[in-house]
This record gives sequence, structure tokens and C-alpha cells, in this order.
Amino acid sequence: MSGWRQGHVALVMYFGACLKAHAAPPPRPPPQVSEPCAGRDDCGTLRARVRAAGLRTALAEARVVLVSAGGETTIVETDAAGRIAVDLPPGKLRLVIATPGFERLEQTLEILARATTERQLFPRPTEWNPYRTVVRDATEKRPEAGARSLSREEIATMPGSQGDPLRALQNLPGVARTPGGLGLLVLRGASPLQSGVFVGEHPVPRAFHALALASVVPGDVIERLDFVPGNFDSRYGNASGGMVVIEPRRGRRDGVHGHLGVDLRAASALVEGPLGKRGSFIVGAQRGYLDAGLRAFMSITDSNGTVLPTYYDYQAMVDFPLKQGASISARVLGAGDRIRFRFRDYEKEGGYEDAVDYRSSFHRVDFTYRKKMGAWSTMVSPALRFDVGRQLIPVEEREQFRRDYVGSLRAELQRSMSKRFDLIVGADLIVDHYRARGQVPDGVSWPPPEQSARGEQTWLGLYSSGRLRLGSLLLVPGFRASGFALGSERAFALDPRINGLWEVSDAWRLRFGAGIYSQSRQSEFGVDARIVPSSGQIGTNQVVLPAYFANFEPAFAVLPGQNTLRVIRALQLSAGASHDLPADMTIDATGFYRDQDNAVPPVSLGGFATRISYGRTYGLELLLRKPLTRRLYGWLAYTLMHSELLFAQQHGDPGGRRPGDFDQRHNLTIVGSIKLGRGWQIGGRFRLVSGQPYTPVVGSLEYEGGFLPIRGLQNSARFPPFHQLDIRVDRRWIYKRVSFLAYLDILNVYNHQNVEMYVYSYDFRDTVGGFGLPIFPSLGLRLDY
Amino acid sequence: MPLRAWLRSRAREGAAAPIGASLVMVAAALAGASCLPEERPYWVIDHTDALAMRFEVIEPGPWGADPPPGGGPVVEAMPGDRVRATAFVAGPEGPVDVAALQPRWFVCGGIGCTGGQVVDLTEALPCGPVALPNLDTCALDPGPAATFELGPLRDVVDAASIGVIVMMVAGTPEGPSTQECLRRADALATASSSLRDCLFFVRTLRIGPTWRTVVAGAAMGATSPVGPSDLPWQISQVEPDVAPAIAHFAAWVPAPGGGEYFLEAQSGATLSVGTGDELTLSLVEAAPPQTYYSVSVDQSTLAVSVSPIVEIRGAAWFATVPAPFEATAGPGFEVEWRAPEQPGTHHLYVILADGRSATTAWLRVEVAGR
Repeated sequence: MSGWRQGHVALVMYFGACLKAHAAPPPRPPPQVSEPCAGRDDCGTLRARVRAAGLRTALAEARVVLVSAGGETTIVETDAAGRIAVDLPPGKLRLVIATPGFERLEQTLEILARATTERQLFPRPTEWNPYRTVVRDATEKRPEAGARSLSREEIATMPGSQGDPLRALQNLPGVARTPGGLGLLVLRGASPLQSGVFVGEHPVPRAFHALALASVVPGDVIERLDFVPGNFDSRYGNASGGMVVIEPRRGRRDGVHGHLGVDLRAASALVEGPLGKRGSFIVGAQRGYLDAGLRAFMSITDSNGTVLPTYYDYQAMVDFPLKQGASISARVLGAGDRIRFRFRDYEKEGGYEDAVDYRSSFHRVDFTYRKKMGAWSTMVSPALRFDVGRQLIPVEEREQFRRDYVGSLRAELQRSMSKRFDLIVGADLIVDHYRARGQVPDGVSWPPPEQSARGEQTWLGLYSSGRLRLGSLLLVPGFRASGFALGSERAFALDPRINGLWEVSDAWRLRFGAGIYSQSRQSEFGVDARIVPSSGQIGTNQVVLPAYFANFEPAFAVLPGQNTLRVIRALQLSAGASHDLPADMTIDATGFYRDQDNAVPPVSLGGFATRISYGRTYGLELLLRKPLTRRLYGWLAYTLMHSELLFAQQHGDPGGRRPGDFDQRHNLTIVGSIKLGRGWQIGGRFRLVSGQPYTPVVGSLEYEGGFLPIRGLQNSARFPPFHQLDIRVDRRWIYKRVSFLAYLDILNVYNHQNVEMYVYSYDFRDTVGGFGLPIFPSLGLRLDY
Repeated sequence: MPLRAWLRSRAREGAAAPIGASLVMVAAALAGASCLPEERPYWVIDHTDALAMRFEVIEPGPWGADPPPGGGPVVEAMPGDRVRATAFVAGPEGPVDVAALQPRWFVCGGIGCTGGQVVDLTEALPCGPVALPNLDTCALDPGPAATFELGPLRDVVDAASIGVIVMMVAGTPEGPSTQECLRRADALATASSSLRDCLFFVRTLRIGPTWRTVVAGAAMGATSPVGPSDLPWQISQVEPDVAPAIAHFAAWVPAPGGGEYFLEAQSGATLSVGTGDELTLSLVEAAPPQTYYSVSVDQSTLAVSVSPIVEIRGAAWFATVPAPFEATAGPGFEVEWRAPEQPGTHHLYVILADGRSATTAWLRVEVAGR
């Protein structure tokens, strides 16, 4: 790990240098002859290249005004590579570039007779906007009600998201706030395990690094993030909640670019540039080092224990257009996490010991081949992934280890059947060969018995999706047939789906969707991450955590012998309207309903998971959005949601519907950002969210000297409402070839103490809230070149 | 009567050794928990709290044993014995009259009572002779003490390992009545209301001595992996368990003119001290620890092995003020305690336990200003 830590920055730089060597320079334009030089033979040649300062992107069609000492004016325009070449009379002249979006640039030059004068010119942009490949219009007209797309710039500058794509996503309607910074995706009340995250054409096992320190795919390598909280297309399966699709971007071809970044949490580096005549590449990596700071803090404060998180991720992507409308992409990406809880061991002199040592990583390589042939488009994408998880708790003699070899394939054929109808048919297949072993305390034998298992689980989907345009109405009917296999068990599902978009007028759009969504569950009782117990002691205090915490690590959970294949089915309905308001503002309102059987959620802390048989979620999402303009953007997102579970009768409990673990009744998020000029930008995010349900401890029963909690009705109480303001201030300095960014991201500006869990006294009589994040400033620096 | 104080002390030790807390600390860190409450001292009696339950055989059955010479009442029972259970309830103003609380008593079924089972208490049927083991939770007659008779012995191992689990439910002077506590517990099926000021107090009546249980089981046709002939002869010499007894307190109290003086005090006596005085308190036992045998049966060979055990006694102290006790000798037999700086009347409680049963005593401390 340490070797990698030291070498990864150098590695990406090396790759960048090597790959640049293959990029052929474009041909130089021949010089134009200016009017004063007509018929003269003593003129010199001015060759100049005009590029945006800091970005080094070529300025095409920029007007360059050349004024000689005698007042003769010559005007030339840059070519596509930002170059000019012009013959001018010898002597001093003034060069002026005045292009919209850039500060006026003036220089004095001297042209020598019969000689060539070369200049590199860097007009300074009035705004920093390296994000030139935003595909906003196409994504805005998605047919799915409530679907959104986030551009790179929104992600990069959104307050409170620290430039992280999935954190930015958590500001959207339909996404629940998760306590304590847990990086879980709770979409429309569904369990985090019920929603899928795709990078490109294939899923990744997790969206966030542990403790939500960062997304496993950083914002710098993505083109856009598509978020569908429900009623997603038939292309995606084995998920009964929502879907997040991260589309990686292609590398830039206008030179080698990149960045180096460092802040309190992590360091990152990225290099991108042209590859060969038509290709491009991106190589990036980041490494978190919060553990180093926490270790030092632990040593200085002589604390008894602390959590030491470490993480890394890397991406290497190559895109290469081929002949005859074909292209191929290759991507290698991976991420790893290690969390240790280190405590002071009093039996060792100045010694420490790791009470919990948890590691998880995945590594993926995939290729995507696309080809267009007239009305036909094809896509084939194979991928291979390797997942490893290990958890060691020495004090309990608990050890769990799991290794997965996951092969996946997606093949798709698209044809424009007519001007009105496009059809997509495809198949996706995932084969997961796993091997697990564990030594898990069972409360009976000691030391814990060794268990091991190996096997295979397979998901196969065949899908079709059409796009039918009937005037202003767009219909997207789809159908998906799924097969699930786990060992010798088999299950099948047929899922019809439809989405529609009706552009009623220029200002009004209506959307609707309906469909069935099937998902296999492997574990009968859901997933208990085990690393976080449902309750326990800190000193003599008893801690009771909300149900969210059972989902801490969904990817690492399966114990040998606990697998049972089940298929849950959800009916999803949604309908919404969008209206364009003055000043480029839009307002969206979406109603949704999700009804699910076999809805065994993850083990509900302190509850009885086996009693839950049914789930239902319904609500309303509202988004008032001011899109990116030159100075201001922002939005107001509000979600009203009811998430219910049906409890079976047990122990005198008559059962009935109660709030689900992920019921978050009201969720208001206001995000705004304004560019102040001179490189300054300031933004803020305010959130006001209902407290999530929890099962209260209403008393205790003293049993032979210990205290057993007496719990109230499941999820019959709520934490206090959460509210928090985050502010981010950016200042960018733009130089000729590089730019430099400094930012201050302050979370919880007014230091509100939000209750994230309850801590009870040893006898459960007294209750005190365990507070979440206090005010947390984070200072970061970043160099772009 | 197991020792509550030891278990409370164990919790205190847990604070010093964070291994057991590690997993939840991870969770706390996940929550970004920046502020956790101070631990409430376990020894502080700032609300009405049951500290101990005492069992005594008041009418031996055909298999019952006489107490050893000079010993107190027998505290482990045999089929046919009639047993009385009484609770010691402490409060900020001194020991609480249990009769005034009008407690209700239950014998827990299965392997015991849990927090989730309090919902069913109002539906519990009246207990007859309590079978060994008892399968269903049943209700004993209400009153300041519970009296019940042990019924037939059905399974020797279960009876010996589980015993008879008795629960007292009581309201408190500062909280709801006993009847209201049971009503709220019953209503947990439909609404969550607080039971924090209700007492749900569980202790286990031990069945034994073991050799007598085996002999009785053989005679009564109970399920048992071993018969009387499998037992080593020496364990038949074991006397039934009796509770430890406290003869009196011994105290060293600062004298008004300097120095300190020694005094002996019976349980319930009053000590007069000055504010901030440092006292040394010790317990004087009335009888030495007993010896008994631990019997274990190998699951595969059914071979019986026994090992002699001498009771290990320990004491735990409680007070109505937060001033801590500092143990200076033995496991709680002698402690130092500093009187509060404010004048007033306070109470000290002590539980002496031997791992099988326990006894309680208390002192009233009047703190006068200087």
C-alpha cells in the first residue's frame, strides 16, 4: 500500500508523458499576406497560437487585430487550432485580441525583416469554465418522471458536496438524507440495496468509499451523472428502487492536461490528453489519508481509541474512434478501503491494537465497442471484476473473508425503424463466482466455528426498449425478462415497463411511468453488515442506533450457509409535470408510488425483520431549478415521502403498517451558487429534513444484574429534525498555462447539533442524543494544467 | 440470588477497557458523533430502584433440606418446597416500603423474561405449583412478597440450569403505580409510552443442591442424563445454600476535635458526620463462605465430573449522592467514602453476595455543617 501511495502520482504523470508522444501535431497553416505586404519582399512572418489562459484550450475563430506604428490595421482570425500566420511589414506593432468571454489582451511586438516571429498568446477567461461537454438538453428531456442529470460543473462547485458526484446527488429530490455522513443511496424510500449504481455499462458494488469519504469514481472523470429515482428504463435490471448511471467522459484531445489536488482528506492527480490520431486517454487516482491525521491526533490527545479510514481509487480510460463509425473504449477502474478501529492497549507500553480491521476493494476492467451502420447501432461490452472483502475483529475471534470473480456482458442492438420509432434490444449477464469463509461467533461454541462456502450466482436479463414519437408525445415502452440463479435455485421474472413524455407546449411537459421491477435477494434476512452492532456499550452507556446503520456496507455481507434465493417485485408508478418559468427557471413536480412484496429490508436494528412482509412508499417531489448561467445557479428541492412496512402479528403486537426504516417525511434542500468575478465564487446549501424513525427504548428490565431494554413499537419514534447550512468559497487564479484553485468548504456553518443516534445510560433510564458532525471546515488546493 | 452489584461493577470496568466498546465506537464514529454523554455513576441511587430479591424456603417439601446448623434460611429449593420472595427497594430517601408499591409477581416461562415479553404480562394465568422447568409465564398472588410452591420436577438439567425465574413488577413513588405500569406494558402493542419509572426486576431461584435434584428426579421420573448412582459420593455431603449474612458495619469516623473514632453499627443505624468528612466503612460477616460442588455432564459420554467451589463473596456499595466509594480492602469489604459538602441526610446501601445469593444492609448518614 505504501509503495502504491508514493508511486501513484508519478505513475499517472508517466502515463501522460508516454501517451502524449503518440499524438501527432496538426499541420501548420501557411502564412497569409497582409495588405501592407503586397508587393514587398522585406516582410517578416508572425506566427502565433492563441489559447485560453489556464486551460490551454485553443481559441478558434478569435479575431486578432494587428496595428502597425503607421496606423495600418490587419485583422486575422485564428484557425481551429487557435493559430494565425501572417506576413507583416517589419517594425513595431500592437497586437489586440478582444474575444467574448475573455479579457482584452494587448501586446507590442517587433517584426523583423524576412524573419519569423513566434508568439504564444493566452487571453485570460472572464469565467472559469473548463466543462465544455455538458449534454444538458438531451438529458433534460428524459421521459422518466423525476429523472435528473448533473453536469460536471454543478458537481464540482456544489456546496456541501466537496466536488463529489454522489454527494451532489444527495441534494436532489427523491434522495433521502443519510445520517452521520453515511454514503448510502436511499431513493424514494427504498433500501440502499434496492438501487443500482452503474459506471458505464456495468454495475459497481458500491458507490461510496467507506464512511462516505468520497465516491469511488471522482467527478473529474465523469461526463454526467444520470439519476432516476424510479421507473427506470428496461435497460437496467436487478434493482427494485432507483438507478444511478455514471457516464465516464473521454479525455481531451487539445493537449495534455491534468490536475493535482490536495485537501484535508485526500490527494488526487489526473492526466488526460490525445492518444494517437483520434484517441484520447484519462489516467487518474486519489488516495485518502485521513487516517494519518487521526493517528497523529490520537497520539497528541492520548485518546483511547479512534477510527482510521484509508481509501484509494484509480481510473484509466482510453477512447479510440475507429473507422466506419466504430469506436472502442477500454476502462480500468478500482477502489479500496480499509477501516481500522485502533484502541489503546493498556497492557502494552504506549501500545495500540486494532479492534476492528476491515478491508474491501474492487477492481474492474471493461471494454465497449460501438458501431453505427446506417440505421443500425450496436454495442458490446464485456467486463471482469474482482471483489475482495475481509473483516477481522480479533477480540471476538471473528474473521470473514469473501472473494468474488464477476464477469459481466452487455450487448445491445439499436435500430431506427422509422422516423417515429427506435428500438433497442439487448441482453445483460452477470456471473459471480464467489468464495467465502468465516469464523463467526454463534453464541454456542468457542472458538467460533470455521465456515466456508463457494458457489456461483447468475443474473441474466433480456430486454427491449422502444422510443415511439407521436407528435409531441414520446413513449418508451419496454420489457425485461430476468432469470436468477443461485447454486441449484432458479427464479424468473417478467417486467413490463413504460415511460412517457408529452410536451404539451413550449413551457409545459408531462411525464409518466409505470412498471414492474424485480430483484433477487440472496439472504433471507437481509444484510446485516455486522461491523456495526444493533446496540452495545460505550463505557457503561448503551447505544441504540437507527436502522440506517445496518446498511453500512452492503457489499460485504454474505455469510456461508445463509443464502436463499428470493425475488422481490415492486410496482412503480410515477407522474410529473415540468414548467419553464421566466429567467431560465424550471419547476418540476413528480408524484410517485412504489408497492413491493417480499420486501424484507435489511435487519432493522432492535426489530424483527422476519415480521415484515410488505413495503409501500408514496410521495411527491418538487424541484425549482435555476440552471447554470454566467453568474448564478441554484435549486430548491423538496420531497414529501411516506415509506411504510407491514408488520405481522407477534407477541401480542397486532402488527399493521408502521413507518419504514427509510421513511423521511419532509426533505427540503436549497442550493445556490454565485460567481462574484475576479475568480471568486461562493455557494451554500441548506437542508431541513425530518428525523428518521427509530425504535425507542421505553424502559428496562433488570435481569440478574444486567439491564435488558424494553422497546416500544418498531419505528414509533423519530429523531429531531435535521438542519444544516454548508458554505463553500472558491478563489481561482488563472495563469498562462496553469490555474490554481483554493477553496474553503465549511460544513455545518452554524454548528447545529443534529441528533444522529441515542445513547442511553447503563439502565436505559437517561437518554442523550449522539450528535452528528460539528462545524467542519475543509481547506483544499488544486492545480490544473 | 445473584449479585447485582458485581454486574454493575463489571459495567464500570468496561469503561476502563474499551475492547468491548470498540464496535459501537465505530458506529459512533460513523455517525460523526462528536459528543457523547457522561456516564451516569452506577452507584448513585437517585430514583427508586430495586437492589435485591431474597428467596427463602419457608416450608420444606418432601425433598427439601434443613439449613446447616447456625445458618439462615435455605435459599435454594427443591420440588414441593414452599418459597417466599421478597425484594429490597432503595430510594433517595431511604429504603422503600415494598408493600406500599403494591407489586405484582410473575414466574417467567421458558428460558426467562425479556423486554419484549412484558406486553403479555396482563394475560398471564395464575400460577399453580411451579413446574420445573416452568414453560409458560404465570402470575403469582400480589402482595409485598410472593409465595409459591414448587411443582413436579420434569427435567433435571433444565431445572438445575434454569431454576425458577421470578419477576417483580412495581410502580414507584415518583412514577406510575404498579397497575399503570402493567397497563402501559400491555399497551406497548399499540403505543409507545414510558416505563422508565417502573420496576421490572428479575431474579432466579436456584434448584438444588444438585445431588438432591438428581435423586428427586429419579424418584419422580424426570428426564435426566444421569442417575443417582452416577454421582460421586462426596457431593451428597453438600449442605443447601444459605444467604450470606452481615453482622454489622464497622466505621472509622473523623472526631470533631481531630483524629478519628471507631464505631459499630447495625443495618439501618444512623451515622452523624460533618461535611466533607472521609469515612472508612467495612462489613463484618456473620458466617464464613460455604463450599459446594459444580456438576458437569459430558454431552457425548455422559460422564459426570464434579469440582468443589468455595463461595467468593464481594460487596457493592450504593449511595444517594454521587460521591464515589474507594475500595481499600477486599472486594468491597472496606471502602472509603467522603461525605458531601452540603449538609443533609443521605443513605448508603450495600449488597453482599457470594455468587449464589446475596443480602443487603443500609446506613443513614446525617451530614452536619461545620
